Amino acid sequence: MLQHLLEVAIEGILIGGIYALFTLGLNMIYGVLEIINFAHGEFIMLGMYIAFWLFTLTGLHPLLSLAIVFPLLFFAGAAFERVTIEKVIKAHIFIQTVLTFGLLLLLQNLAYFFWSADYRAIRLNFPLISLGSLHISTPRLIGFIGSVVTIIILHFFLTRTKMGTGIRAVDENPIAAELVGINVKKMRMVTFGIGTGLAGVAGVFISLYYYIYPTVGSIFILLAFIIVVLGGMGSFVGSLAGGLIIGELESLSALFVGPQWKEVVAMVVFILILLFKPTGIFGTGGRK
Amino acid sequence: MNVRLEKSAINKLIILIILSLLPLYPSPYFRRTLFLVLYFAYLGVAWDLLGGYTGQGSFVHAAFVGLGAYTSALLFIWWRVTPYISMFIGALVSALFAGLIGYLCFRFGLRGHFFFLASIAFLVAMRYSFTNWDLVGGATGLIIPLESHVPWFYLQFESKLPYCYLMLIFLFAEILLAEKIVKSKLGYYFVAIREDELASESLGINTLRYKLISFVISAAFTSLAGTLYAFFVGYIAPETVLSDILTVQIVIVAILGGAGTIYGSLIGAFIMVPLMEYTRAFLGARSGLDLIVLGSLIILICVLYPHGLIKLIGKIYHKLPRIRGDH
Repeated sequence: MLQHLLEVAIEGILIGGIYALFTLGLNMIYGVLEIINFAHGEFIMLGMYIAFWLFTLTGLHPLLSLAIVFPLLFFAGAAFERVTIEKVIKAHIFIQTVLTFGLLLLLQNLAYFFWSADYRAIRLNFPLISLGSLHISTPRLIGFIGSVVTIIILHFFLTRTKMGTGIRAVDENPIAAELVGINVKKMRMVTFGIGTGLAGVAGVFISLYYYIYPTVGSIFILLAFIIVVLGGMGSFVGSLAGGLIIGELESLSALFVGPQWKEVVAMVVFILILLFKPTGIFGTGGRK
Repeated sequence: MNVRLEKSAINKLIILIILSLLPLYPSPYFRRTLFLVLYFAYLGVAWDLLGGYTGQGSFVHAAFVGLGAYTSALLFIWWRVTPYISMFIGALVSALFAGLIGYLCFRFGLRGHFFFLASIAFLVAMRYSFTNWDLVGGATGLIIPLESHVPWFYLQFESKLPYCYLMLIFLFAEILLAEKIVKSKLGYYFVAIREDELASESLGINTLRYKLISFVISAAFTSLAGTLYAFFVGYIAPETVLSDILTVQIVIVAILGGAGTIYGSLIGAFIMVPLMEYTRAFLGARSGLDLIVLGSLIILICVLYPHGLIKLIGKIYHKLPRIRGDH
């Protein structure tokens, strides 16, 4: 029992790392553009499908397909931001929210139209890793390590490059950023692109161990909402901590309450956080 | 602020006459679509009271449709309670539920994006619970058994015509009531809260109380339509009456027309529902093409008319006299 519990706990941390990665994308978009991207899960789904088709048609290893997935989804996201979201950046939040939901419907059903509702999976044989008598899922471990590396790269991009500093400035105060000569429009476009690109990268990691189907994104978008609120909207560290906590909670509640109730548990936790600490663990509090 | 199409009762009467003539077109498919148009217009108006007037954008509203539908369906299956009574029991359940979640959310000062997320979480938690709860039919849902020997008593008609008129009566009653509310002191409190919550609070408006009142009224209205819908289709499931897509459809209907305008929902429903129904009919529901069209259209309308279509129609309406030459 104890061994089983430990295995479940380790698995929670591993998937939590991947959750943290796509949540960071959502959170960056919220921080800089002040919109909630409902279509975020669909970019995860696209990342999964691209990895799947490249693997099935050309035999490319999913991890190598990252070199295609990130740029592709970066440009798709950036183009979408420039053409549509930029036009409603000053509109009411209802309009912005509904706009991203329109994108969700569009992408989800394009996937359904072209690739049908079939469940697909990338079949790769990974060697099983064992620590003593503990068995660890290799695809999840690879996904976790990949996510950690991506998050470190993102951290250096945001803190050490000129553009990263510009993005953080817009996140902090868009008006002041504009005053000191930062191209706020461009930063918004780049941020949206990075956000969707990160979702795609996370999708590739998830595709190593999870089924691929058109509506798969809706599972992850709900998780991302929970994590982003738990960790604090606009907080980088918060997304990391929130991802690990929710990953752990999901694994443990599947073990103790039963897998069919794990979504209800997650939602109840989400509501409790919203009620008692709506600014999240690491939230800045002063934001809208 | 609010461009209203109707400045007089005459306009209202014209709309009512047109709407009551439409169901006479003898095509079951057309009548089905018309029912859905009126149904979504009704839901849009109910959402508008909370979202448009009080400024609290809720994504939980499908839960009230579901509560209305489930309450009356269960009461009918267990004890053959007529929907005329059970719809009000459903509305009471919805009002209590709205009061509870409204109190929880507003008490802790959730607004804007946070209220969006909290309300959608309540909906999703409810859908998952209903899916796992055998008493209410679980994932397969509930079928309302036929008792067609007394159609008026159990609201089970073979033709879609009576449903259209029933929905139309509900819609107009709701519009009249909503207008009464909006023009009353209560309505001014709602708008004050939407415009500046802090300022209204400092002027002595109990904002928590009025946000709750708005939420409860909106939920009760929404729930009544849920009952009608359940008896219209005869089959309900978490997938159909508790889905997040239903919530978003309600929000789209209300804001495409123009939030905070009441009649905007009518315009939104007349655009969104036929579009969805006919693309589904022509392109096939199984291919997903209908939702591709809907998604693209939502994006297009949001980008082109971020203030709602009623502004556009209002502009045309106000230009009409000028075309004739009498300013």
